[in-house]
Amino acid sequence: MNEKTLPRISHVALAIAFLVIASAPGSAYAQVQPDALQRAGYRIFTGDANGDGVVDVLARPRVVVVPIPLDDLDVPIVVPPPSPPFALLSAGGTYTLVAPPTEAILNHPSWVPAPYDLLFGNLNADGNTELVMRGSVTSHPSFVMAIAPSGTPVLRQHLSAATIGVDLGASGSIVSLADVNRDGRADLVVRVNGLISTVRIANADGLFENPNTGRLAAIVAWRAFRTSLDAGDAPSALNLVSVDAVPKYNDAFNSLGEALAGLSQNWSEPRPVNVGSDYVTLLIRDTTGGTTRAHLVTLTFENGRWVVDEL
Amino acid sequence: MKKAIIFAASLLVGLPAAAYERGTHNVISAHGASRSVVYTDPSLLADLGYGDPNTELFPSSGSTSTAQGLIGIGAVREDDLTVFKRPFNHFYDPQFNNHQGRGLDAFVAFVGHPSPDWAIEDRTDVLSISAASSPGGHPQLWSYRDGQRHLLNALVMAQPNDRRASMGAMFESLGHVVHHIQDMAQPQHTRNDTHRFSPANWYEHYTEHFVNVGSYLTADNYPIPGFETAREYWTNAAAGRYRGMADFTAQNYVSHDTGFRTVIGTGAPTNAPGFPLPNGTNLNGTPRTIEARNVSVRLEDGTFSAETMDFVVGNVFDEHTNAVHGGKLLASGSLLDRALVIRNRSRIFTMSSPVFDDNYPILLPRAEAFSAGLINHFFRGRLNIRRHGNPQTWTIDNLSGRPVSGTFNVLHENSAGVRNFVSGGPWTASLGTGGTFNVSFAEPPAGTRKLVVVFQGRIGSEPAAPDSNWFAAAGKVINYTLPPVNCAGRRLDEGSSAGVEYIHELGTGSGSFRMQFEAFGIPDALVVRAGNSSGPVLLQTNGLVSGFDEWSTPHDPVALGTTKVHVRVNGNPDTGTWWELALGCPGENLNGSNPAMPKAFVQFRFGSALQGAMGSCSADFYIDSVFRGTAYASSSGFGTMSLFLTKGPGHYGEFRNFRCDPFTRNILVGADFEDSVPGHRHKLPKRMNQTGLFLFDVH
Repeated sequence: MNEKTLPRISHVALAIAFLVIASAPGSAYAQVQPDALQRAGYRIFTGDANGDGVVDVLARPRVVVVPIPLDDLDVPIVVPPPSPPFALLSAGGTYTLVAPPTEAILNHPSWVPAPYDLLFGNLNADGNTELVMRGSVTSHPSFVMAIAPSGTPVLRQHLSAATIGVDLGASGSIVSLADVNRDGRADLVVRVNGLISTVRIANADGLFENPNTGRLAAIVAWRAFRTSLDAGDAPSALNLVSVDAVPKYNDAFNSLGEALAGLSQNWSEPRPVNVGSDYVTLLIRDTTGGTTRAHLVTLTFENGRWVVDEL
Repeated sequence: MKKAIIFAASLLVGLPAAAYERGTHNVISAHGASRSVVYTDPSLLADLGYGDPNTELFPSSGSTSTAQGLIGIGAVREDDLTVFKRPFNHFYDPQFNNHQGRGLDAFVAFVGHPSPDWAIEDRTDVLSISAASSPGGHPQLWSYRDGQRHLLNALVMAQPNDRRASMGAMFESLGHVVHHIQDMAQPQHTRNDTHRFSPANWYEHYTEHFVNVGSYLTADNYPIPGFETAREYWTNAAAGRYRGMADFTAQNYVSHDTGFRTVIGTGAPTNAPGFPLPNGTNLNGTPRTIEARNVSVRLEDGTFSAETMDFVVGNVFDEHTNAVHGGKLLASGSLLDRALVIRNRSRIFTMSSPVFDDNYPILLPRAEAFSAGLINHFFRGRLNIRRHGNPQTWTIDNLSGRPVSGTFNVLHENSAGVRNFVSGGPWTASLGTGGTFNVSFAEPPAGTRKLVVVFQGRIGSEPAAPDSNWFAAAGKVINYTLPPVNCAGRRLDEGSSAGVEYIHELGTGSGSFRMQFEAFGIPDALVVRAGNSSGPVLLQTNGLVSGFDEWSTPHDPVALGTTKVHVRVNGNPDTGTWWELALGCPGENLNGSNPAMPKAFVQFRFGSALQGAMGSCSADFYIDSVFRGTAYASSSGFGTMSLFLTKGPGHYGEFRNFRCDPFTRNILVGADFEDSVPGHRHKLPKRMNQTGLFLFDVH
């Protein structure tokens, strides 16, 4: 073998190997890849594939074509996506995952490209990356998708106003993922018109909970406020303060300036003290400079939402 | 300068919610009412014509309750938002503009009247400030002044139901008014702190839902104040005063939006802009400090957590009691506090439950006692009215403990409770403390049961409202009594067919009067009426009757409207009739040592037995047509019968149904009697076996 022969042999072998991969769908997803959902590069379509009058969703992974130089030719090799296409079909208000969808579903004429934000993060701290499909209009449902050990997608949660208490597709909303409570799990951060509006905390199962009690809602409001501080976002923080308290804390935030972002590093997790219909008091410790002081933070239900009243 | 002092004494934070479901105002008002004269002076409601305040019920605004209940209802309703925003008028910042004071000043405009202006209306009647929600404003209808109007109506209105309704409105008004005094014990209301109204702010919410307010009230006996004007319960409108509730609270405490700041550089506490007090110095010149204290926080799950918190600590001075409450927690450090310190910025402070808890023992009993004091102030006008020695003249006494000046009226009330003004009024007078003056008016009409004296004007140094000549009302209801008249004395009459008719004065004395009437064998009739021949019948015989009778009849000249009785004896047309009548004064005994109709013990003897007498004879014996017993004569001798008979002529006797045993023999059936003249026996004109009436005299 000369030096030129060896590459050819290698190219052929490589091409054969890709062809094998491309022609063997049963083994394409055999080994789970932690970031498979992210690498799949899904494009999202909406339609009514099952004809029930409710929006269905189809996620098609992007097909990667890799040109393989073979002799003097670049042979296009279709690389199978790390995760297959899947459909989320509605049935009586709930969604069922179909992965992979049948040809009839895949080729249903109702599918049209839909504006979706795809957010990736580890919601349950298991090392795998989950996908948050956020429909950017109210009529488009949002979901959390995970990857199964088999490599197939799993529907983990339908995100709706009913399930998490916030409409992620509401006008002016922007959703991102960040670990706002420092537990190693990515949480949802919702901004409305540029200001942090609320957060949703992922639990150990990677599910976002609906803060459907005053206590939970107040704690969530506190986390949103704290997220705003951590982001150094004073306007968002003030937006989460009661109307009466804005002048008082606006002055303080201005005094703290850029220090706002690091403020909450020394604060403990909140513990409920007084829980009422209109007010909730949380105990928070501040450990700064080697000493600890307790504070009773008061939140109040104002204009339909919980906000910080005394800090 | 911040002092990091750790106090060993722990505070308990976050105690579980108390069992109160009624509003805090209702609880404080109920306690305040129970300490006020309404409940501690039994004569107060009695003076106004009512009974026990614990059971007497009054209607108001669709509710019917006791005085205490209505005061509580009013206190709750003062926060009513359904028609317009009454709470906008619940603020008074006494420090504003060199103690000129101000109401709620928000959004660069006054949106509410100063609390005392609204609650008292001592300067003028007010409308709520016009706003989009209340264009043109709504009239204030539940002020102290309105309460005084209701009190006046409760005395002068004609119909009893109207007066009772006015009493109800008066108590409800008092509830509305004391609500303000209680709000003045909430620092935000005295520092123009525009806290939201729905839901309540944290202080009010915490107090309502997490604090047993009643426990602070029953555990304390804060002295009830007594000021000369209603406004003084709010403020003295002068610097350096800590007596009125607004002055006390505003200058001792900070609030959510008007908290302490710190002096950059020294870190010492200082006052909030626009509020000179409290500042960094206690009244005695010592500094207020920032201290760390241990607290025990009770978490929602019931566990306790030992914590350390920073507080502004200082004295609270109470000018009413001259008490200095040292070391009170006045504010707590903010969560932003330490970051601000590091960057040498002014610190900010928060109002938290440990601060509230530490000051409830001061603020709540004071609110209760000031509520009671204001209720007492409302009822400080006390009067009396009594008969003067001169006819148709009455004396009015000022029992208010201070001078009064104004107009007096007198009303009379009949048995149906209907009141009317007496003629001759009103009278204007100024009376010193304990002063009196006399008024004259025609005696009220017959049937008058009560007399009411009513005052409207000024009491003490409290000025009348500029738009009126009066600001205070008072009154007293007394039982009406007729002018004193003596009984004309005992009257005795006797006669025959012509009878007798007369009117007799029994006088205004109380008690029952007695009458005795005796008709003899020929029956006669008696009718006694009140007043005159058309008055109600007090007693009468059952037509023509014989014999002796005696009555005891209640003498109630107020109820009857007369002190006199009309007496008529209808004599029998039989000219042989004879009757006797005695009428005594009320309380007089006609049978005592000076009997009206003297009686004699008369012993009758019937028959006698001859030698060999056998058997017996008897007859029914009647005197003055009344069966008196069976007369017996037997073989063993005469039978006897003893009777009390009125001395005098005209007694008729009669034997009826004479009968003897079949074997009777040698029995004589004559009869005689012996009366009060010993040894003097009189033979009866007829024997036992003889029919027909016979006359005899008793001596």
